[in-house]
Amino acid sequence: MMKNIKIVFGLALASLVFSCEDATDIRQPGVLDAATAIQSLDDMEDALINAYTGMFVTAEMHFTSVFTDEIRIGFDSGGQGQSLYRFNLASNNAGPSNVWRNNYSSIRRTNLVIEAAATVDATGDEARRDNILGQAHAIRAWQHLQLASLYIVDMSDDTSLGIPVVDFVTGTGYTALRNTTGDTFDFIYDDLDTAVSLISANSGSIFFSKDAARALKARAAAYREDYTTAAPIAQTLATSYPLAGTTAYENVFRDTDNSEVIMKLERTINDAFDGQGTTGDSSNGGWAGAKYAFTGPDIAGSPYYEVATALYNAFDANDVRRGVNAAAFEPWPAAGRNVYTVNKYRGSQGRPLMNDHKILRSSEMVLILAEARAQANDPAGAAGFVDQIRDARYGADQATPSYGSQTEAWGGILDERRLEFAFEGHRYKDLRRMGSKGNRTVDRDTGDCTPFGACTIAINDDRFTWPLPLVEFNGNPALRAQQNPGY
Amino acid sequence: MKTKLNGILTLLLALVVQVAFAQQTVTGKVTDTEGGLFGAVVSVKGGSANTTTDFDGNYSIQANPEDTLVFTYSGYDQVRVLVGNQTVINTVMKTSLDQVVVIGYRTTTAVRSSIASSVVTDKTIKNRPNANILQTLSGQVAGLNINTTSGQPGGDSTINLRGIGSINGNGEPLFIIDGAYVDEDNFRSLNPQDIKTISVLRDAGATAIYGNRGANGVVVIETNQGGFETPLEVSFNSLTTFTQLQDNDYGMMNSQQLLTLERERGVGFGAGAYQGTGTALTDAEIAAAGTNDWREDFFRTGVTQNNTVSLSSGGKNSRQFTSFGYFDQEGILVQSRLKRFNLRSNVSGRTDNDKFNYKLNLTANYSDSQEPNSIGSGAINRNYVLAGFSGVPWLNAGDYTNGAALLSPLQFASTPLFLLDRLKTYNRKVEEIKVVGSLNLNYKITDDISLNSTSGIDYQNAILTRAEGSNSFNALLFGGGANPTAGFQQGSTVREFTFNQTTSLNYNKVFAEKHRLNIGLYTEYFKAHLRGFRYFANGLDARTFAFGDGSGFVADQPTNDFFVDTIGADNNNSGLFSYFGSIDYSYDDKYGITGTLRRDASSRFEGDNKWGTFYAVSAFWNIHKENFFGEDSDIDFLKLRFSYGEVGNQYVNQGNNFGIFGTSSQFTDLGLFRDTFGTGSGYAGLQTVGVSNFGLSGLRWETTKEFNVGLDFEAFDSRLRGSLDMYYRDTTDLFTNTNISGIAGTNRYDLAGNFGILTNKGIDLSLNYDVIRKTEKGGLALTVGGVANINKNIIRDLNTDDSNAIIGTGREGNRVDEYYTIRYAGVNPANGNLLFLDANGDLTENPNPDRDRVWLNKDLFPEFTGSVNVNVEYKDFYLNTQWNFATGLDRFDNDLANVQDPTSLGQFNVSTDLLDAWTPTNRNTAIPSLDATNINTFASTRYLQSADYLNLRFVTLGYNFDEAVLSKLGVSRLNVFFNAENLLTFSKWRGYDPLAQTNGSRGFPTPVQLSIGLELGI
Repeated sequence: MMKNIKIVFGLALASLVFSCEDATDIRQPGVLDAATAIQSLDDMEDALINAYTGMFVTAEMHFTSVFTDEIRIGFDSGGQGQSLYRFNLASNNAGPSNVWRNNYSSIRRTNLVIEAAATVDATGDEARRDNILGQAHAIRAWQHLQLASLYIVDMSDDTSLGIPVVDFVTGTGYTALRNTTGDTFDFIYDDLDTAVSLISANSGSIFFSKDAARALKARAAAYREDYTTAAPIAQTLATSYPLAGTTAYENVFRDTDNSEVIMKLERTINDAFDGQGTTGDSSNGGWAGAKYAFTGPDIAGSPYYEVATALYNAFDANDVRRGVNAAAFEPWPAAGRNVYTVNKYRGSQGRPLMNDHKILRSSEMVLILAEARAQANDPAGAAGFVDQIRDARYGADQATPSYGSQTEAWGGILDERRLEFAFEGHRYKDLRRMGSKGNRTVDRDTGDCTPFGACTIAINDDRFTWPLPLVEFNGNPALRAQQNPGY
Repeated sequence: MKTKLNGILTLLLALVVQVAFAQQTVTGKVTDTEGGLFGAVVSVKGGSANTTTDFDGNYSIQANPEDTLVFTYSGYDQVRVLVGNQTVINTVMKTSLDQVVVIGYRTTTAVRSSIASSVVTDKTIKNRPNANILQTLSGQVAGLNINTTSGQPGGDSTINLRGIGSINGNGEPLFIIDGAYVDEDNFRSLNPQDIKTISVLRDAGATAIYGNRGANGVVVIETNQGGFETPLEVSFNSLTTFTQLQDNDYGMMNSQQLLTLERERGVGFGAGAYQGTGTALTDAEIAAAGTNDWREDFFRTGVTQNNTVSLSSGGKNSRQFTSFGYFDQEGILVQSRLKRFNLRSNVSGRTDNDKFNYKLNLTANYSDSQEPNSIGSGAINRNYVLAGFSGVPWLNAGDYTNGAALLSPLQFASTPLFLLDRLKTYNRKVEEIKVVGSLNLNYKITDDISLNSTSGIDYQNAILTRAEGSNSFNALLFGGGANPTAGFQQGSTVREFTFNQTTSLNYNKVFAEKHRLNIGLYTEYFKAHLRGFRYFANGLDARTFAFGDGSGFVADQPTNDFFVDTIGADNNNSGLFSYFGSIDYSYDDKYGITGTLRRDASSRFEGDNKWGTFYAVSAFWNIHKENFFGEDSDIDFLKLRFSYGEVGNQYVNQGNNFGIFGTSSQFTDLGLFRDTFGTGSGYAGLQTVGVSNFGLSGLRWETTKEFNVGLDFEAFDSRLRGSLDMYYRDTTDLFTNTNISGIAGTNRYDLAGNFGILTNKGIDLSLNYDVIRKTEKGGLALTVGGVANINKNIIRDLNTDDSNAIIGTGREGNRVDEYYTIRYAGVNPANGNLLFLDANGDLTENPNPDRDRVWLNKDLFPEFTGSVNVNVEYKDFYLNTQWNFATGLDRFDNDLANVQDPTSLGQFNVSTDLLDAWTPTNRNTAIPSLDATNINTFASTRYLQSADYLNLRFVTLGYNFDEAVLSKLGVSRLNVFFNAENLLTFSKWRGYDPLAQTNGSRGFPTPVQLSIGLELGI
């Protein structure tokens, strides 16, 4: 009896020991091993879509609108954005921290595609592979340029501190210091040249085409003040993509027309961005319009920001852009004044506040041409290009502006860009680039800004460049020595 | 059985009767809580006289006035009484030291235990109104911090034993019910009335045998069992509880105050803005406005019914305990409610020769829990609390018509109406089936060797259903004109099944009557399975929709994608395998030593990190047995304990659950150790492939190393009883985040990992003192007692740059989660702006939000906690009170910030504090000007408040009916009582819930609970 029990017990124990792996070696379902995740062109294409998923402009839109002069705090707001409206920008702010990590994350995604292209067997299908690869290069350039335009103090100074350039799939322990501005821009140029050579489509709106890569290069060159590179590209594209008429222009912002759109970021129902996102915060994601209102367009959509008074007043009544950018409620007794709500992101496909981001348009190309003329000290030439925009936006021939000096030309271009690209995240960068040259800075109406004690900021203030994010230094302490001035 | 005993003892009685020399005759009765004790030994200390009590507990003995009588009864504490001039000495005997105590997979007696543990019995658990047993434990165990931040019936509490033991790991203890491992976050479905004892194992000496799950303490719960040879006893408990919102000191405005201020400020209804007329109200109109307290619309007096019937009985070789429970608690917040049914059956039996024993404990439960979500958020259209706390008082429920009417004009001030609409159009509930069972088999191979098997299961199926009608304000608002049927229904069912099997071989032997040896060898297998399914149906047709039903779902339309529904499913497993051993040796109950060793393999880790080794050694010395103190010493019992052990924690809690829906801690962060990719939907709704996890190749368990020294003592005839423990605990290889560069491209600045050390050191104390002992039936008895814990925590070896600190984690060598912000310095008398201190301590109106922050040496966690209880019995009445206290915790009163925010004017109600705002004629004030230009600009200490408290946690007053009277009615026991939970709090905290350790706002406060109940035994 004893013996039997011992045997039974021994067997029971043994069975447990041998079956223990069933409890301890468990592979969770639903995931792919990293080593075998990207093996085919189809995989590469899906990985490319993942890189596109990392393209955002919402954080810089919000930051720009609140920090500069595009919005006023709404009459029925819940307190959103007040600190940023008071020009509080420090290295722990949300915008600099979010954009830095989002962009490098997307860059890593592009590098995954680029490295995979070297190993995936594309025999007989090289053109498809090249098309995918080219787009990855273009996205990588776009991400680097967005970083450059916010974190580099002087993009025209090749020897100054640029941003860290990343051209391979990084490990989690990777750290880097800043490349020079020259290296940064050379890298962007190279990527875009590669993109143009590899991408198959000449045009097309929601993915990078050859034209979109060219337009991006024109923008990069303008940022760098390399107008000899920028102008010819801009000229070609301005010709291929004529400026939209007024009705078409309105429809562009209702997402029902692609006139003059070289590229846009698609936003559609049930995609990864279909949601309110974080409101009142410089973070990426969510509906574009939710960076200004909680639920929809107009006053009924609970706007926490309104169109800044000075910006609204800068639009002429005959300018189609006034209605595109602002819905007027004159007067709105509940506010005790006129109220203008942000109208650029009313929504599309029936979804309030959800709109595509028209990131590259021919109007930008025309204004780059104007910049090139201003740079060449040709105020009249600059005025001619600005006039092209105005004629199109008014739907009728307008008097050509007259700039008495190079400074006035820069100022005029800056003013025109303020109207053309309102609420698109350009204003802060434009003031950075051209504010000093054009003698412009943030322009807030006293009625808007006095309650917050925040009406002006000098154009040479350090806060016209973003700080490198404070949180970056914990894991990358050596970079602290390369922080931008003033932070 | 009893008759047999009687016979034996009569014989014994005859033997011990002796001739006594005439001194004085002392008579009396020896009782325990149940009545007279038969066979207790009464002796004269130092003398030879002794006797035993008769069947009713009566005795008679000869003694001198200077003699001390010693009363002894197996399983009870010895009692000593000086005779003096008394001729009648009645004694109540208590058990404690010989009671069986749990020490981890095995038991011993209190005398031979070498570990730090606390046992809470049903005496202090039973008949409490809390749906969740954890909330009842608050203040009952030294060092056990139960933090309840929500008044949701049955809601979860956060539990920490001896301080915060982990940063990004699960810091909660392991819970075991009758041998089954259960989900530590889910007690809403279990009936606390079934619980007999709760043993809290506090030191590593006790917990190391639980290996990589014991690091934060182990709580062993045992439920009621029947007794062998016991006739059927039926008992019935019924408790009716009324719950109410706690009060606050915010001093909210009435309509007249608010409207007058609004008119002055040109905002809101007072200024005609809300109405859209722009015409300010007249004095008469303001005077005529009614003041509505929205708390009455969104909070209520909740009624709870709590009934349990239990049946227990036993024959010669089998016994059973069966109980049925029904519990129905309305929360104080609208739409919160918990209903549950409990069924328990505990059956055990043995063979005639007692060689084989079995015990089956099974409970099946169903609960239906209505739990409003978005509580604590700032969503004016979703959080009911927001309306209750700060809805404008000039609106009332009569102003609501329907959701559509609220769309235009859409105004913040309509918040309470949005939420009234939500009450009518939104529903959310979680139904749960929970089964916990264990089967315990024991076979004595020889007298010394036994084979044991314990199998435990915890099965829970949580079914969530929530829906928002298409005619609701929210659906109309977000749907917009293009989508008039934008309601939704979400459903999910998540089944979790955990199984544990422990098999052991135990050897117990006493050599030469004094050497006691116990050796155990064990294997344990643990597996957890999760299966989940869910849907989110967009679009509800109001004509046919009914909550929980799918008839009204709107199908995908050819013209749009609004009604594309989403579905999901999960299938995940995790597990552990372990083998371990224990050895306990003691000599003559004087000295003893224990060692445990365990090897664990976890599915959460890989390679060399898969297996971990944990161990402990502990020892005791019963000093009172050494005769150091002499025969007449007041010290009855004195034990010194020592332990050191290393225990693990496998529960990484990085919040990466790979999209598993509604999981418990068993399924978070699985497979973190390797690089993986996943597929999903991305740009333009297209399919993507991308990284789903950046592998943490070195990931391993957290290891806690704890040193504990303890003293257990009883003195003055055991009037004073207590224990004192000092501990030093290092959590090493801390689950925390490594800082990484954003340039690495993970979209984060940190990465999970093991580094750093978290130290907790402190003292646990528990004390009880019988101030007055009952000397006769119906006499007065008064016992005071309490528990206390002082804890200090320190974080070290942080992975930081040169600043030696990580914001949000703390500074090297300082407390964890230390606050780091700008110091607020008051109101500038010159202009009414806020003043702050910069980093150098100089006043400024415009601090740098980064560089002027300082470390404040304050945090959310208490340093000194405990409770004091006073228990009185007189005649048939009893009164028990328990006061809890905590000091050293500081919280941001964000609710106060909301009601003192001048930008809320016109939208919400505000505090009358704003009437004292700075003006040129009121310069000396704590409230900034309503036009202050730097308000809402800088995060600062302005609302940081001490939240130290003294709380009357529990008071109960009861009456036990006389048994003699009851027996005539065929009733063995009848007890009626009144009790109150959370009745009274003293604190500087102005908000609704001083006890909630949270910096959140607009939360669901825990209620005040008043109950009446009865307990009936037949």
